[in-house]
Amino acid sequence: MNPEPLFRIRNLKVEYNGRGTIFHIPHLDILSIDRVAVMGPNGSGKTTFLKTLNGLLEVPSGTIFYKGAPLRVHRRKLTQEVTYVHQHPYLFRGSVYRNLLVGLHSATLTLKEKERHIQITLERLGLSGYEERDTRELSGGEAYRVALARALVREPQVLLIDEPTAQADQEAKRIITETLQQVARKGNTTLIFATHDENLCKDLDVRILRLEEFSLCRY
Amino acid sequence: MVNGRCRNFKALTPASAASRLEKELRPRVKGETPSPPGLERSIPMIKLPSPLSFTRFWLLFITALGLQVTWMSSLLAIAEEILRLATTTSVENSRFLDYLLPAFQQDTGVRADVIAVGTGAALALGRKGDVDVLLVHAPDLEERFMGEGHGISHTTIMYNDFLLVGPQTDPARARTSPSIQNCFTRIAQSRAPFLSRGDDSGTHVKEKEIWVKAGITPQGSWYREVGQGMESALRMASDLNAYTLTDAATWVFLKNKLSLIEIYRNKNEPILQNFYSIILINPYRYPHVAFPVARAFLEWITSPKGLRRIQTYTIGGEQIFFPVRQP
Amino acid sequence: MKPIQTAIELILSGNREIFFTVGTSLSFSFFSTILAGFMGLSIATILTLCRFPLRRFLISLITSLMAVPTVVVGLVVYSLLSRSGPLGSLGWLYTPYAVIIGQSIFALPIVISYLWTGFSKLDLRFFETIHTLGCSFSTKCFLTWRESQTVLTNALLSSFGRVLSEVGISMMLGGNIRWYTRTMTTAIALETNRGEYEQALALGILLLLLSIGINTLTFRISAQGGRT
Repeated sequence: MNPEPLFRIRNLKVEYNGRGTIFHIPHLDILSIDRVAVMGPNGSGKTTFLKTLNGLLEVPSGTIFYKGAPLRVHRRKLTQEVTYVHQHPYLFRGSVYRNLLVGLHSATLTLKEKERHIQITLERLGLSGYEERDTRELSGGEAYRVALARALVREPQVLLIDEPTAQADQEAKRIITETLQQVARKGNTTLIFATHDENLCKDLDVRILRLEEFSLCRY
Repeated sequence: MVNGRCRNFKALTPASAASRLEKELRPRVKGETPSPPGLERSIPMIKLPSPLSFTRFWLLFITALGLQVTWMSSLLAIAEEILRLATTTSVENSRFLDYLLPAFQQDTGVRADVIAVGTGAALALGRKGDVDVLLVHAPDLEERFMGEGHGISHTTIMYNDFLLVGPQTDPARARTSPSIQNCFTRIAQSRAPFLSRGDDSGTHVKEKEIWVKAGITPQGSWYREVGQGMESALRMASDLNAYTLTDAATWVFLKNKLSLIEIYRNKNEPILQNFYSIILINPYRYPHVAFPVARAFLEWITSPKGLRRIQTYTIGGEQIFFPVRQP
Repeated sequence: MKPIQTAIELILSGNREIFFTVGTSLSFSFFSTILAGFMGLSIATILTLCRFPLRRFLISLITSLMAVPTVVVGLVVYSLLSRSGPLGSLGWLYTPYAVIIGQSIFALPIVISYLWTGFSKLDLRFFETIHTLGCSFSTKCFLTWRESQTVLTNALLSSFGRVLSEVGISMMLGGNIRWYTRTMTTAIALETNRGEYEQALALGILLLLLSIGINTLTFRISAQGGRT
């Protein structure tokens, strides 16, 4: 079985201004069924890597192909199908409901359907009943899960997450891991995330990409 | 496997690494040079009271909007026709138009908008066709104006005079002069302080004419050019105990408030006569002028009623303007 | 002290003409701020959210336009609206329309500058988030405006204050016509010219009070907004 790779990365080289190469990936294929954990010490460029996949950062040198065409061509599609979650996400002013609604903006559902969808997603993340809560009142962990919910509610094809369990306490870690497992099991989302958490990798059965030495291996 | 180890690896916390990265690589996303990621929004916060609540703000705004729209529409409600009249600041300062124009509006229903500027500017407005009527008092300039074809009709309607005022002590002994040029000569010779408008207004032009006639070029610290309007100039002259040339209207208006007295006044001396004329702007050259109302104004002001109105304008019981024709 | 005392007495006497002048000033400033607000908001939003060549150049151009004196704006608009000018047939010169247009043009670079600066202060993550969530352009606009409500209010209030105290445009385009286009500032100019200093002072005091009021309001709103 050799499906067409979703992402084809060739010669991706990222450098700091005058500080040398951060990482260099000469050849990497990511399949749509993949779950990839990007690991490495702090400062090894995990966030940068994720951002280049989304088009948030320009690829300095090298090429990235998404679904067979260079990123540049796919701008619109990229924003629809690939979602990135910051490590410290930015929540919009207003209620949790509003925030999730933004994620669904381009969806062709009725308002009622959107509401239902939002409700379900919040439940999955242990945030049931949080719709009317103001984002300013949330704790760090809750806010993160809201951001995750915001990304998940869109049912993206590719989910890029920066450090999903970094700020989570035990309980939240459990919820997030479970959710990600569900997402992975469903099979129609590619999961790419940056993390330090070995346990998470274990639970999710991922391929690990170690940036600082660029080695790709199975856990 | 490729060794891509970063050369200058420093232990960095994720947040600062991210921020430095964002600064050094060009972000693809529209946004300005990023400020550091700043306060994480996910820090737990106490519930804050809602700010000058934006609903309240909008309510305020809507009320304000309502008020303003009502006000504006009443301002713009053009129930009457409008005449644009340009005149000089000295005419305006005499408040004569405040007395004349309401009567005009009552009789004809035309509202006259007055734009008062310096003589030169008033004529310039006429040359652009931005006004319909001029009321000015600068015969030479008017002649040139008419000669250039900007005006279609020129009618002298009233006159008053210029006079010399000065300190009660009269240091130059100008009181006893036989003519205005002689006054000026005596002032120049005694180097008594003299205030000039210095702004090419009608009064200033007249003053220069007199100096020329007297054959003197005024120079020295006694001669001060102030570049002010007539009222301001008179007040200054009063404060400085200086002589100055003024028009009758402004003088009568202010004389009780000043320490100056009339030094030389001769209504029959031609050079001191101040003629006011009405010029209708040429509608053939400037098709947008409101010619019918302009003509109505001229007809009204030269009618017995208008002339009587001119005659009856007094300040402190004294008549200011004298119609050329009797009503 | 005496002139100030007389001035205050004048204000308190409820002189109809003085208050009419105040109302006219407020009215003109209000409408020109709204006009400049709409135009400025659209332009500033496009500048923030869109990438196009010459963007940086445009921004520095607009910022430098802030320094244009009111008289210059007045002259330019005057030459357009003059009866012998291209837009003369509109007959707007020496009417409130001309003043409002002139003032809006004057306020526009100010509004854009304020808004642009405010928008730039938004966290980079905000822009990244709206990008990655696949928002349409209009959604991006609305979200940006929602996130910068304080900035918007401040921009409008500041430009209102600026425009309220300007005299070059009202004088040149309005003609200082009594009961029609005479604003506080042009009235002050007139009374000063006439040497009626008490009247000028009375109007000046009112103008000052209004300015203080607006600034206080701006301060309160931005202080509140800063806390969120």
